[in-house]
Amino acid sequence: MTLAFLLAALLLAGPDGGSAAPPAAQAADSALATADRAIAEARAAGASASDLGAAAALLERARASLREGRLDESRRLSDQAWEAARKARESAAGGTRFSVDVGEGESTRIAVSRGTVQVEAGSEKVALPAGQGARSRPGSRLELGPVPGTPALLDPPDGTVITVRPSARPAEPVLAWSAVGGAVTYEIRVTRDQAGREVALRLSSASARAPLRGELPAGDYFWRVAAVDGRGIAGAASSPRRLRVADQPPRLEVEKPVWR
Amino acid sequence: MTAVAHSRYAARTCHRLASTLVPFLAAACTCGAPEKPAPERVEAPVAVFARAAGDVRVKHADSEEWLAAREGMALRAEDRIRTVQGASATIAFPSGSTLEVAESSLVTVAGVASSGVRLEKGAVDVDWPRGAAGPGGGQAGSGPPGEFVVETRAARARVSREVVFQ
Repeated sequence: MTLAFLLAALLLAGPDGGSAAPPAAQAADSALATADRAIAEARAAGASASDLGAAAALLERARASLREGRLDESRRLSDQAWEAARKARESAAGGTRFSVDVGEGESTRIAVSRGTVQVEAGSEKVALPAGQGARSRPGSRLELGPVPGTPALLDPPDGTVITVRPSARPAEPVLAWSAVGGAVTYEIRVTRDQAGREVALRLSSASARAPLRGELPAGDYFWRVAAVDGRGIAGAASSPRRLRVADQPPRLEVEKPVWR
Repeated sequence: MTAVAHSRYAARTCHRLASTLVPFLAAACTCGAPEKPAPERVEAPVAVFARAAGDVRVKHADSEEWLAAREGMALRAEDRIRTVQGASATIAFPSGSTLEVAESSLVTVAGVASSGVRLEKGAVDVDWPRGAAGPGGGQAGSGPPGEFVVETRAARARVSREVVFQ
């Protein structure tokens, strides 16, 4: 048991994003290694051969792209392999997954994404299945209902290079995603790691788009969006997209024409 | 050395081992101690930090000091965990369950009897894998097997093998 636990703790260390801005080759290497590790974790968790095969095929294509110097393509494929491995691991894990948060006025919000959770508040006792959420406020009955759906990210495309400033400016980058029914707000998380744990910037928007403003040092990031309903319950976040923040806006390089 | 002094020495030795080597060896040590251990720190750890990113602090139950969390650090009943903005932590339980503590959160590791955590502020994500045996791994004296509870002032969320629809 102890050995298994220690192994699990090591595996949970998660992908390492890093806050420095690595060169493109280093970033592609790092993405490849992260995806490779995710596949190993999924295999250790007992993921099915078909799920693992799909992730491994993507990783193989990423390796081939890297060998041929197509760094952006390699990174994109590695990210896809990581996502496939994450889903394979989730699916193999089974069990139960839920989130609890304490909001204003000591209200508690519970959202279940897998399995069933028993919720107790005062004399009330309810079994919440996957996809359902509950809010409990002191002196009120439990408010039950479905958890909001997951937005699909639209813009900017994966791997876009942008610059970010704290205040509004012309042609500032805008993040966009598909609207979700029942959503009152959307929470946007920009993280340093692919797993979405190391938050660098958190934004909120009432519509399905948000200008990207804030303090983000140059480097590689991932962004994802979750829909939040009127009870303050957040649905599952979207799959992440990679974003590279540059110190200066990317410049169009034009070679000097050669007159013949 | 008297029998009492000897047993206290044994308990202290177990504590040192638990703190510096593999945390979960402490469970085996305390089981073998001839006297019921008095100090809280001799209790078996119920969880361990698998990951800490940013400013994550821990206040052990027998201390007033908020220490910087580090991977592998053992957590015992009534230890408190605090994350600031931008920080997060993963806490692993021997059963295989994991608790993700989000930024700006305050969590207390619940006592062995109530098996789980108390969330005072912020947010947590619980991953309870198929076949999980409870926060203490179902070992004797480590909490009820097959259950994990997140408790707040307003509600209690419990996952167990015997959840029944109502």
